[in-house]
Amino acid sequence: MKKLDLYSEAKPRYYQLIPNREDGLILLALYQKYQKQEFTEDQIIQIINKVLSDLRGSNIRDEGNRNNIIILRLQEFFLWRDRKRKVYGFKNYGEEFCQKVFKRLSESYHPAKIERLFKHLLETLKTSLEKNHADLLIWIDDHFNVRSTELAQQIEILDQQVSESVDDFRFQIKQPQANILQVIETISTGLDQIKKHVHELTTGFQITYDIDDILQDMLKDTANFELLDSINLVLQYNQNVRNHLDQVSTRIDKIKPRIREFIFEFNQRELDRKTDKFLHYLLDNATYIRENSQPKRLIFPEEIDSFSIRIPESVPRFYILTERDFARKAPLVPAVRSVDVEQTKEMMAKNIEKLEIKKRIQYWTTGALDQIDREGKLDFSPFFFDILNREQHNLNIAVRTAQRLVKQCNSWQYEITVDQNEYHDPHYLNLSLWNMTILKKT
Amino acid sequence: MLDKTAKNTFAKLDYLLKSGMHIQRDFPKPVSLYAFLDRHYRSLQAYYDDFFEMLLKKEGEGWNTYFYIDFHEGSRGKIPTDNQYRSYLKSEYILIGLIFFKIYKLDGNMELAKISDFINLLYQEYDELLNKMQRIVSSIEIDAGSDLNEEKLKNMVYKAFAEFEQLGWIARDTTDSDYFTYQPSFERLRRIYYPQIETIDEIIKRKEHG
Repeated sequence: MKKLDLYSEAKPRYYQLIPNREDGLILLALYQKYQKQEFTEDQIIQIINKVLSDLRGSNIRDEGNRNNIIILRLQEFFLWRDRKRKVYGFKNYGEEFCQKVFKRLSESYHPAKIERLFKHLLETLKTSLEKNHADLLIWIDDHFNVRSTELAQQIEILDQQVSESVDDFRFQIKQPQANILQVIETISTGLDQIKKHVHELTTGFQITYDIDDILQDMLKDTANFELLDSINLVLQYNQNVRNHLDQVSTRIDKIKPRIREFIFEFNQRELDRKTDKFLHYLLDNATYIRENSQPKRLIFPEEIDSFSIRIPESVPRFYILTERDFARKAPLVPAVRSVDVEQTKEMMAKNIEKLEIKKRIQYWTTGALDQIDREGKLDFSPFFFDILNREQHNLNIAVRTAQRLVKQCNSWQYEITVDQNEYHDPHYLNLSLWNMTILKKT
Repeated sequence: MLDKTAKNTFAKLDYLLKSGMHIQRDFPKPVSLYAFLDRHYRSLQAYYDDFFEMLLKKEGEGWNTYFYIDFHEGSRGKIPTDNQYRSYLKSEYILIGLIFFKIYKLDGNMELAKISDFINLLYQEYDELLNKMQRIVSSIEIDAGSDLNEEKLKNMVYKAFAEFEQLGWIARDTTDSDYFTYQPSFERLRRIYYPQIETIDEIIKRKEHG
């Protein structure tokens, strides 16, 4: 096969290659009517209108523009147009498309055919191998590849029949007048029939084991190693096909007991209708309440109670106590502690510095209080700058002294006055203080 | 109590029943639980009535029989029955349960065996139910989880199914908890509302006339 990037080649013209639902059905309707004959544009338009009315459930107006677009789109791959004679016909691709659908839908299940196919496969395999082992490749090409799709299709048909039964059941029980017992009876018989077919197929597929045996024997011979891939291909296919058949069988086994459940409730159509109504009533009328800052809670209208499912107190609760281990514990290893001399020194230096500052603050505060006691008053602002001056401009000491002083003088013995004129010191141009005076009361 | 199996079975059975479990042939396992109940139903019923004033009930027919203790009806029982002592099935779970019941049972989707398929089916074929449920979900405050409604709904459905399993209404596959098997006792969810369902037409009429 020529190398082709299928994905990127198909992407831009997907809808020309694979028709959408409307286009596809229009094509099938056309094929049904004309097959290999030619047809005119008007005839196509008639079909378009008929199909679209059916799909959309209403009468479709004749829309020239829409019809043109559809016809142009179909011409890309499916239809050809004879310009001179103004007629249309199916291109090969279009014909194949319709035929494939036709074939798939008209195929039915033929167990005898399957057995024949398998027998044929087995026999041709045997004759091919008699001559030369490498003829396996020819056998795969001539017989196996041709038949394998057909065989797989037989299983698909059965699987589809199961789906159809189930869909039919779903449809039937929705009918208001349905006789449920009869519906159940019919579907049960139908499923039994399918199951029987599965069984017949399984017997037919027994031959795949014979084919497996022959191929597995070939694997033992080193001369056949280059055929390994081809042998695997066939073995794998046989395995898949048997699995698939198994699945259909299991599927039926699962459905049957569930159908039986319906038998006991066949007389409940009215109840079912009301249940549906009840459900919608709850959905429409559920509201929320919020109690004492709890999260919001969904509640139903008052006629409908909530559903008490258990009383937790009635459920015995077991506290499992594990036995404590009283055995002697191994002695704890003492933690080894070491002294970081560097760090200690550093901390010490920091602490000494802090103490020093504290001392200075104490010194200045006492000095200030002494002065107030002696002279009855202190102009604090010049005093502040005096501190700064004598403490190497350490603002920290000056500010904290001020703080301390204000705190200590905050009593009936002293009076602090502040006028909002700023006091400046020529040495500290970026600093200014309100004039603060502390007086001793007499 | 003279039954030989009593020794092995009763403690577990008692615990399950009091936890609100519904017991039927297929679930919970082992089958001996169901068999024991079925065999001694009368005397067990008397036992629970005499000693706990609890109502052991049997519902469903034939293959669909199931047993449970009815905590719902009245205020029986020697256990305190003040509302704060009861566990209620969350209203949102009741809704999810009824939606599932409708889709599975009333509409005959009996091949439904995966929770994720149930959610997908809701999205694909049940627009109206989905929209109504989403309205409810969007105003709910879920403790953890995403702000996205889709995610919220999904989480809620999974939580609801976990609760249904506790009740014995469904059995979940032990290897893949997405798979479940419907159990006959799921019908209980509807049965409990039979009185309201029977009179739904009047209830709606009353509502419409204020």
